[in-house]
Amino acid sequence: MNGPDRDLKHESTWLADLLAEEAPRHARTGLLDDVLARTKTTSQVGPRPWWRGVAWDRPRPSRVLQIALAGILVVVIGSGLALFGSRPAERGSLVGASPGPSPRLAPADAWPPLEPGVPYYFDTPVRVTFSVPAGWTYSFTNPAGSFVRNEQHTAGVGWFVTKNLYRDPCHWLNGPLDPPLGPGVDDLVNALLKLPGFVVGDPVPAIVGGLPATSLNLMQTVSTSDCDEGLVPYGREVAQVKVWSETPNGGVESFGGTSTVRVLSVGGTRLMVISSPILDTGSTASEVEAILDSMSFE
Amino acid sequence: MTTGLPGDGVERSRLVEMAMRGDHDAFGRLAAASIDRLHGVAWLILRDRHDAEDAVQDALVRAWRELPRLRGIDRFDAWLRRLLVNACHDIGRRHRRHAAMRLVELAVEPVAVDSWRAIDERERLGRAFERLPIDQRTVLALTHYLGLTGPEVAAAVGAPLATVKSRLRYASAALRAALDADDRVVEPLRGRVS
Repeated sequence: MNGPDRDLKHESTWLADLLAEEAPRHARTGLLDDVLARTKTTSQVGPRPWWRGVAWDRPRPSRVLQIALAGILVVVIGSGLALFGSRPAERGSLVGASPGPSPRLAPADAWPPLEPGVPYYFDTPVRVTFSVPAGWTYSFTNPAGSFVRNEQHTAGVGWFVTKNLYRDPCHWLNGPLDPPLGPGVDDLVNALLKLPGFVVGDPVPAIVGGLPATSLNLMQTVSTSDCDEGLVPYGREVAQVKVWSETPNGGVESFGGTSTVRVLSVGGTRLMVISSPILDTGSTASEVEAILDSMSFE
Repeated sequence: MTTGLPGDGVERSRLVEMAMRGDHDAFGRLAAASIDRLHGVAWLILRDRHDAEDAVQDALVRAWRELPRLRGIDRFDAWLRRLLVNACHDIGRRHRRHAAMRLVELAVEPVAVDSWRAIDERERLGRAFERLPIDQRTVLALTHYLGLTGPEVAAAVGAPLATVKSRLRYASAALRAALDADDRVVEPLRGRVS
């Protein structure tokens, strides 16, 4: 059927057929697992109070009412600020009474930009408190850990409780190492040194969140498109959720195939802290470094 | 069309009710039954597999979180569609540059003579669809892929019915114009390589 000759009356059916053919029939294997892993760690909100039982698609207030309400709000806030500003001594004592912002639980229901400089933590097995520069958001969190990235998708930092590695990260559908890794930091470091599909640099000592760690640089040598489902995960965690499965936004392959992995023990739990790309110079590198410097563990 | 939830209406309502009370397994069954369709819609709107996955995750996680506040079990499908559309638009706003990059890639791909036979309406539709604004792609996908009625689409995008009809009209016209433009480009190229 030629475009110009197409009868408008048949266009709807034609379009429906083509869109049905165009759209993927199935979501990626594992997407559901990712969703369920996230929802498992997400608390539900409480039921809506009875006094707010109006239909969710109720009509909005009229424009005039909205403007009037906005005006009242401005006057109220303005009065409050004027009052507050007229008593500098009290203001000073209030600031002095607060030692600093308390860590805030990062939102788990969307990918909003995180507020720069605010200490956040995720509800993960090892509680990691961190802050980000402007323009960073988080990519995902699951029972093993979390990953934050910049909005340009050019850099990211993640931390995961890592129980095991895939036998071959490129062909991860073949499963994890069997027998699984031992529990020590050295067990994971030694396994990473032999990781198929990566060139791994020499391990060097490092400090993360004030704790001793072992750091390695990894460079991917396989083409992501040749790998299972186009992904190259390499870690595996407690609940059999792929740690390193979100691409292109969270995988090493999307960052030029390089990442730095720091392995450490936090109170006996082995943690892998990953950053991509490998730090060199430039503003992105300094942002990644700032996040790593801000990290602390509980 | 619904989101493709399991079983009959009664079974589905029961699962929604259980999920509203915090039954994660029930939510898992609802999610499992709807995830392919949700992903299909998100992919059509965003034209990127990974962005589509982000949108589906965002919508389902928010659905789980907000479920206890859903008013009316029978509204679950419409509510979930709206969460998905919102998630797609949030992500789409952040990644507008992607479409331009993909168009460049398409333009520089070498094309063998035989491949012209494969450049059918589907590929041309894909390119034309990608050029549409996200609002228009959304109403097209909801109308023609999910088969929703005008009022259902309006509820999903949170816009008046008249706006939806207008977007649909513009989208159809733009799609037709884009496909016609492709016809004009493809013919001379076809002549050049063959």
